Amino acid sequence: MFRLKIKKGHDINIAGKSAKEFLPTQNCNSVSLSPQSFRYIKPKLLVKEGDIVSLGDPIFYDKLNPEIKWPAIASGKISKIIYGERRSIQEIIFDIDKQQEQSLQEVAPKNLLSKEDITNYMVEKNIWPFIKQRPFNKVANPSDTPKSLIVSLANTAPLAIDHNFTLSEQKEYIISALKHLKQLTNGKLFVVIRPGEFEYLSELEYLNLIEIEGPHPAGNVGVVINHLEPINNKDVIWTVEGHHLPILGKMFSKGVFDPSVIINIAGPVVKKPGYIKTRLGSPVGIHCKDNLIKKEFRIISGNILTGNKIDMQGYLGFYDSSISIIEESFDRSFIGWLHPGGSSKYSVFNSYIGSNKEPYNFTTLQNGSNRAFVPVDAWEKVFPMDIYINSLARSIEANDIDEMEQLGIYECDEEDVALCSFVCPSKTDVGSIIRRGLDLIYFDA
Amino acid sequence: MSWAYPVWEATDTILFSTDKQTSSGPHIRDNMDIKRVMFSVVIALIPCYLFGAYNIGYLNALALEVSRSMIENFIFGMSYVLPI
Repeated sequence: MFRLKIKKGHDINIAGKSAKEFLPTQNCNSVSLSPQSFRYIKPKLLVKEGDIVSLGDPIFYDKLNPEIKWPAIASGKISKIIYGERRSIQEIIFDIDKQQEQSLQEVAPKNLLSKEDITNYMVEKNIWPFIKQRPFNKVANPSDTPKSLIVSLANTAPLAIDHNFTLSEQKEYIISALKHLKQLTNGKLFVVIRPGEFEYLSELEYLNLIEIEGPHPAGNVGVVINHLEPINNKDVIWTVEGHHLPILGKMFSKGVFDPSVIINIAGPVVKKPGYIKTRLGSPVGIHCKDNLIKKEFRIISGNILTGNKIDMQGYLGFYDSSISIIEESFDRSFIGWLHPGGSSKYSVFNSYIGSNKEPYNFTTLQNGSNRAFVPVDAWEKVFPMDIYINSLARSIEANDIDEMEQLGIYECDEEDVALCSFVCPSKTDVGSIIRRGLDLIYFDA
Repeated sequence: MSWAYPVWEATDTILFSTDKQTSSGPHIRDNMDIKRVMFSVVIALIPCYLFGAYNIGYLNALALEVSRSMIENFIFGMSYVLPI
């Protein structure tokens, strides 16, 4: 076991943390799979509106890599396919037929011993999209040989789920998933945990456990990569979301695709934040209804730092494990820049009187206008990676690919710099800058 | 008239803070902004101004070989610093 102590970063003290209890399960009649959740793919549909599909059937494939197909996340009818600009597929909505799902039989796979066996099995069963890669944070390429594989079971983002609670009854499937995932790499399988959690994993010799301590973004895959497995333009590291491990484990051990997941609903405007047993791509409206205390709110699929804004009729993203809800406020405080502080202001900087010890009701206010970069060491204060983040952002703005590569852009992702955007006094969206840089390198290559 | 927007925006946000919303992640932001950073810079430099004013008066007294009290030195120095 390796202990990784992170000093830089910040745990945002936001109100509305989920209590460790389950809210009443709501029945979803429809779910959605959105190709927008997956980067750098050109989706080509294999079905059309009105088709009847079973769980796990191929729904669309990537034109750039046709062996990778995406599975149906429900059995039933494809009720609607929503297109966006230039016929881009926005959502594929399934009407769930529970009887059809219950009639599916388990067919346990045999002889999943080598990388080829497991890769072929995952591609054949259309569950390959559960594996992502760094750099670029996109669906991995099955023909690549990853340097290592990292699974983070310590989600340190604000209002994020506690994997130790949600995966407490899935021990058998987690072990099955990790055992098979290890075969996919000749390197190490790193599993990131918090101290005292997932103790049964320490008995597994094929894992490299990393105990992390410190504020967010200590639990991020990118931080582990930067500290333990630095990569350059030729290396690839694969990652899997922690809450997807039971899905993969059941597939490997029983041959059944069970899209059940446990997510949380949290935020300052949630009446009763808690955990929800639901399924991939579930609608958010059924979980938010009658559980909000404000009329103006923003629903976010994912955590509040990296998630996407959706409306009440929206659906949970494929890789997301949280529904975060904050108030939409349009308050304009009088001479706000001279405010002394107190409980109405939250800042990482020491320029407001009062501490951040009380949970704060954040809103969608940007709290300032957009300005040019002013390097006051704000980004460096919350960025624990050994990268000159300010210089990297400037090299991206200058479209200098060589400079970006030398500064370590391959180890970065939007989630790793989300705190930099949070603290930036110039209100710069550092994540979008990093994304622009990665897009430039990807399409240039 | 888009060139005048920064002027209008600076005047508008001196009295009332902006109601601009975040559009994508992160959806929440720190309460610190550049206006407050620059105000903090002004506050932080006040001791420097005060000592600098006294220093001008002190060095002037030293050069002219006259004797002045601290307050007289300070007033002398401020007469040069304030117009700046």
